[in-house]
Amino acid sequence: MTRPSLPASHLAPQLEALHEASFGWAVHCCDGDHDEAADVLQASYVKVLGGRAAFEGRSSFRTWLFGVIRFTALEVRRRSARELVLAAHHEPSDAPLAADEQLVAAEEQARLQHALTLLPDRQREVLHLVFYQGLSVSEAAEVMVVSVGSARVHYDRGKKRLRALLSANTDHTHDHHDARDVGT
Amino acid sequence: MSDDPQLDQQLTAHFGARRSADARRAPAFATMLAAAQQTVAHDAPTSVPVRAVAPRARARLVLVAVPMLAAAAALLLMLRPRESAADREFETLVTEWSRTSDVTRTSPTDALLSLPGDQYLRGMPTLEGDRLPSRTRNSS
Repeated sequence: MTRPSLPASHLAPQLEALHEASFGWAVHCCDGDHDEAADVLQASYVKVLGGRAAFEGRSSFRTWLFGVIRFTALEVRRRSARELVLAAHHEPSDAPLAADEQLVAAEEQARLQHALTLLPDRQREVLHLVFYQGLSVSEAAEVMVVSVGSARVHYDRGKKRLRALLSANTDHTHDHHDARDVGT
Repeated sequence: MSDDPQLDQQLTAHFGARRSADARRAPAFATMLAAAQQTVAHDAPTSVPVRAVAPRARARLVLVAVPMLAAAAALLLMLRPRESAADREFETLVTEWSRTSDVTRTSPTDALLSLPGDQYLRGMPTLEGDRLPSRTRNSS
């Protein structure tokens, strides 16, 4: 049953204002697959404009829209039955190694990206919503459809684990460098 | 978000970079909106004919269901067991016999139930003095 909550003339400006953030969220929901994210976002817009998803003002428009995108991504992924592949972008490693600073920054980014892929989905999701989308933990909880307490736990554990992964990785890198120095 | 400022800073920078990269690859909003509106407009008419067709479908259902119900009723009437006049007479005789036999029938063991003095058991004894047994009067 379709029940448009707002006319398209009112929805379009709000969708446009959130378009880039929505795409970023769709990319996250699609594990970094940009093409699939575009399809998911398109399907979400169809739902919103067609009234299949109706905004009733119980949360902010952004939180609600992110929820629509999240569940649309789940639908699309379930339908296409694709394997969930953890996106492991190593974009910084493609950066030119012109300066040491750039190299160090790129290495750090790569390590962080790799560490993020090792986190459980919920922890990665809440960190994305907070640090990428700039939501509060309670807003992230609404998008994730969990209690605030639960989102807080995912957030704290995610950061704790991330810290542990990064420090372990750093130690390993230092050992590796030390061994290489001794060898030379 | 303040328990580890260094990690927070690192995460903010990392996600900020990703946000910029994603924004560069984001499809144009106008294109997506136009496509979505086109899809919505294309899907919308499909819901209208459903109502238009519904009465016709109902009429077709009635056309099929009514003859079927009539045929089923006729079949039931045909298969119903018919009661003949001879059956009715037999039934009357059996009923009549049952009614009278309850009163008049005696069985060979009925004599066992006949005890001496059992007439006293069939009604209330009278307690007038003349009719009391003599043994009772002597004992007092």
